[in-house]
Parts: sequence; C-alpha cells; structure tokens
Amino acid sequence: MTEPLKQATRVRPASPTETQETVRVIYGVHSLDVNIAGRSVGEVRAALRQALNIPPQAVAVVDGRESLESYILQIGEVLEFVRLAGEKGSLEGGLLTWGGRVSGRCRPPGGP
Amino acid sequence: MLEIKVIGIGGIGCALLPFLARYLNYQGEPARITLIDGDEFERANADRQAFGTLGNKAKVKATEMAREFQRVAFRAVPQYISEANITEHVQEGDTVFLGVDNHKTRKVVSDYCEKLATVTLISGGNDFNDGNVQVHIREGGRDRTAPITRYHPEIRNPRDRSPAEMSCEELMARGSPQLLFANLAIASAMLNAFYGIREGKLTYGEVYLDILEGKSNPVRREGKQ
Repeated sequence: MTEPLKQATRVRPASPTETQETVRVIYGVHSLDVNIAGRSVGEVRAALRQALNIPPQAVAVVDGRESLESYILQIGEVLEFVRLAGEKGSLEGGLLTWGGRVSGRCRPPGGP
Repeated sequence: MLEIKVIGIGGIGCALLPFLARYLNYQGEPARITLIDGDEFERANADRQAFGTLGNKAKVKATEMAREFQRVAFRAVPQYISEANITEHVQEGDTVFLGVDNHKTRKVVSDYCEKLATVTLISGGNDFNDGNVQVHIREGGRDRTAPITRYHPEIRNPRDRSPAEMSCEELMARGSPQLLFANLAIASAMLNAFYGIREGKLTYGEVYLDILEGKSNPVRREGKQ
C-alpha cells in the first residue's frame, strides 16, 4: 500500500457535520469519507486508481447496488470498489518461500 | 443433524478444522463434518499445515479429528470438487466452508449453491497478508446475502482452472508465497461468520482483512438485486 493511502486511511473520522457532506469510499479494508459528491463513479475510480491500486475489473457498488461508471454520486452515499477475492488458502509452500506442489495423483505408484 | 462440508484442506482448512470440530463437539447438537480434498499431505506442507501422517488430506485430517472429537461424525472424500461430482457432496441444508485457491472451484460451488433452496456458503481466500471472506446464505429459495459471484467477476468468469483439470506439470508449476498467519486470520473470520449465522446476528456478507494493517472491514451484500 502506498504511503499517501496509509495516511489517508489513518485520518481522524469525519465529524457528524462533515460526514453529512461526504461520500464514503470503500476498497478492501480501506474506508475514506471524502468530498466527492457531484463526481461520477468513473471520475472517482480514475482519481483513486493509482493510490488504492484498484484493478479495472473491480465492480463499483453504490449503497449496495452495482453502479454505472456514469452515475453521479450524492452526499451520504457509500461507494465501494469491490476488491478481488483472495486467490490462495490451500496452496502448499513454505512460510516465506515460493513452493512448488505435487498432487498425489502425479506421484509414481508406491511413492509417499 | 448439522451437515457441514469443508472443501479444501490446505492452509485455511487445516487452521479452521480443529476449532470448528471443538465448537461442535461441545454444542450438543448432532453434527457431521465432511472433509473434501483430492490433494495429499507432503513433508513440505508442515510449515503451514498440521498433520500426523502423509497421505490424502481429507482422509488424514478426518481420522485425526475423529480421534480427538468423538461427539462429531467425520467423513472423508478424497476428491477435488468439480461439476462432475458436486451433486454428490453438497446437499440441501448444508453449511459449506470453502477454502480453496482457485476461482474455478469457487464458481462451481457457488453456481450449485444457487440451485439449492437452503444452503450456507462461507468462502475464504487470502493473498500474502490480506484476504476476504464471503458469505452466501440461501433460505427457502431466496438469497439472504448475495452469491459470491455477484460482485466478483473474477469468480463469475474464472480464468484459472481447478486442480482436477490440471496436468501434473501445471500442478508442479503452481505455487506462490504463503503466510500461515494470513491463513489463520481467514479461517478465524470464516468461523466468526459461522457463529454469527448460528446466532442469527450476522450483519455482513463479505469481510476484508489485512493482518499487517490490523484492519478488517465488513460490508453488506444484500440478497436482493
């Protein structure tokens, strides 16, 4: 994660007054309240693409519904760019190593 | 009987199983856990996965769990899940823990769960130090939370393949760095979601975690489109 983004996600929570005027943007564990009402989803994606490392195929969701890139954001809405699902979890390999794997069905008969 | 299927007995599955089994062992409700994986434990797995003997992962862990938790029934299916066999292994009313490393298998399981009237699918995956857990709950033919494919085109249109479809050369070429703490965090989040569902208090459909940032972010995933 980039340093600017770390800083951005560590800022104090917006006050109730500020929150009423902002749009919440979510990407993965990151959540920011920003003054982007009146901007389109596509504009926000372009502005945050580099800082948040948002892949082009990440779906945009506004208040729980998939959104068009042309949608104009309103105050108080929540825009989420859905982070891609983790791709590991059952791979073998070392704690900090690059691990090749061999399936049991690939082993010579009689092998361990 | 509470029927639970654990698909994928790797880094996440191995971390999840002892806690799931212990919880169920002392709940009093009859439960059966079916472990499903076509892969084999090898010595190289020992730095992230706990196992006493080499052999098929589902068989080895089912035997170990049955020895320790005698009030829960265990069954092993030494196969990779695929379109060809999923109807045999996932049924109405099941709770499915899905801890696999490929989107193709996720899609196979998700698509089939969408055909069932009542099922709970809890799918977890991680990259090196972060990951996510998705929860799809169907009750009476309706989605209470969104299917795991709805907002995830990478699962809906997977570009990878399941291990069952790979050649031995492809399987050997696979591999990437893994951190057992990330596996543990995702397994824990999957169990947290399961507990939330059991208590009728789950408020999210997906949760993201980053262990280095020390953050988690739950988001709603409404069933209705």
